[in-house]
Amino acid sequence: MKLIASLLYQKGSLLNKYKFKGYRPVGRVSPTIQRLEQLQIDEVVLLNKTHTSDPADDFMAIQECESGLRQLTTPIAYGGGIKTLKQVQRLIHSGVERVVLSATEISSSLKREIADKFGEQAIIFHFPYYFMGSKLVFRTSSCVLSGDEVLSKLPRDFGGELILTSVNSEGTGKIDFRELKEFVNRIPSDIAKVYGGGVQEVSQIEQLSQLALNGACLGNVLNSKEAFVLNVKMSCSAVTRPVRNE
Amino acid sequence: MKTTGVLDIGYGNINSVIESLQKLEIDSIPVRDPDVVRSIDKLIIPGVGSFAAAVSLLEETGNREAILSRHTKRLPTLGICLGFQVMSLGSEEANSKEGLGIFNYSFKKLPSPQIGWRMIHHDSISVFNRRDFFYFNHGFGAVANESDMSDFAINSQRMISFAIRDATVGVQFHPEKSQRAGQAFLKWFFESRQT
Repeated sequence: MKLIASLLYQKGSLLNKYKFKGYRPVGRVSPTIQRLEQLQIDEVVLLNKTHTSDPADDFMAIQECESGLRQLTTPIAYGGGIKTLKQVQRLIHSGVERVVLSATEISSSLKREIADKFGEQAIIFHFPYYFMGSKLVFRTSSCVLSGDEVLSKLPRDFGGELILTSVNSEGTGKIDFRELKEFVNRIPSDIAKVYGGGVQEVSQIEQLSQLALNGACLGNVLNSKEAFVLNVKMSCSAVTRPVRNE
Repeated sequence: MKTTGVLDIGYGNINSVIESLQKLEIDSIPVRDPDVVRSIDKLIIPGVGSFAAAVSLLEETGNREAILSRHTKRLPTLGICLGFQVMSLGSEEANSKEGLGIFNYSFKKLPSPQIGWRMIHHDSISVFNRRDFFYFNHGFGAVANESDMSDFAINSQRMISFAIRDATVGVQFHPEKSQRAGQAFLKWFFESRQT
């Protein structure tokens, strides 16, 4: 199982949660991620929260962090504000391998264009999910969709990866494995899946592995002690998924 | 002065490869002109893209013939991931497109994409004997079924991960994203493939 650092970025700096009230800047992309490389983080997902002041400028947010991205020798996936093929092209040119797209908000035609030009392996779909009673739902910027509606938007034989994020678990340190199992069971087994949101204990890694998840995102990695990250890493290596544990 | 080019024809993580080489103190430049591609000392064909788009771009820019000419002249060329796949016979990703045919493999759609870190096994190439892990991200692969393992190497999934023919080398993994192990591989390529 792979260990993924999920990092937030805004206006020139990576962000860290601060006293549960908000975020504060903690440093530039390149030196911070190079420190994570020392901890054998397998991949980084960088979510850019920068909002462009000019809606016509597709590249402003990307431009801010791309010099940092190209210096890294760790696999990087980038998400946030992607709405055109040209943005994806620029990101990949700068050293990003994969882009993170909202499964619910990206048009089918853009999904197809990205897959045709860069391959499906360059796409990660983000699924922020929660349960209302026993019903699996997804919240988009404008509405709430059922699980079946959203999963039907996945391209047939999708060859990329999914990040499943429990909205209710984020920041709590708890994962509802019963709900997660129910969601995982609805996804075709040959689609690669990782879990993000709520991973705060080493013991959770083994349980995620039992659900055939390929990786776990650590959202609080910049707040965590090195010993904790190394313990999670060891736990990831010990479980049976064939990543850095042959 | 020896020059290294990174093929820049509209796909691939060009800057990542250039920066990765820079860390090894190897200067490289993006190249597109087929005359330059044909003759530059060393060439890297980067990955990240789809087979059909990459082969079309090679044809449109005149670089298909330029790369084949390099192979004939035994000038060192490294294909990374998709850059490796385009040097094969073809891929199920685009049955209508022919690869360059330098390597005698065809790529087939994998039951599930291979995204993660794997070891590579090869008896005589030192850089693969250190129990290091390399980063893979691909949905199509060539499965080894030949007995002669001297000119290719496989990973634990039996995917061909490294192939060598004369001065041309192809790798399915991303050395530029494989941290220390990837840097060691690039160093091996530059030291062992002299013009």
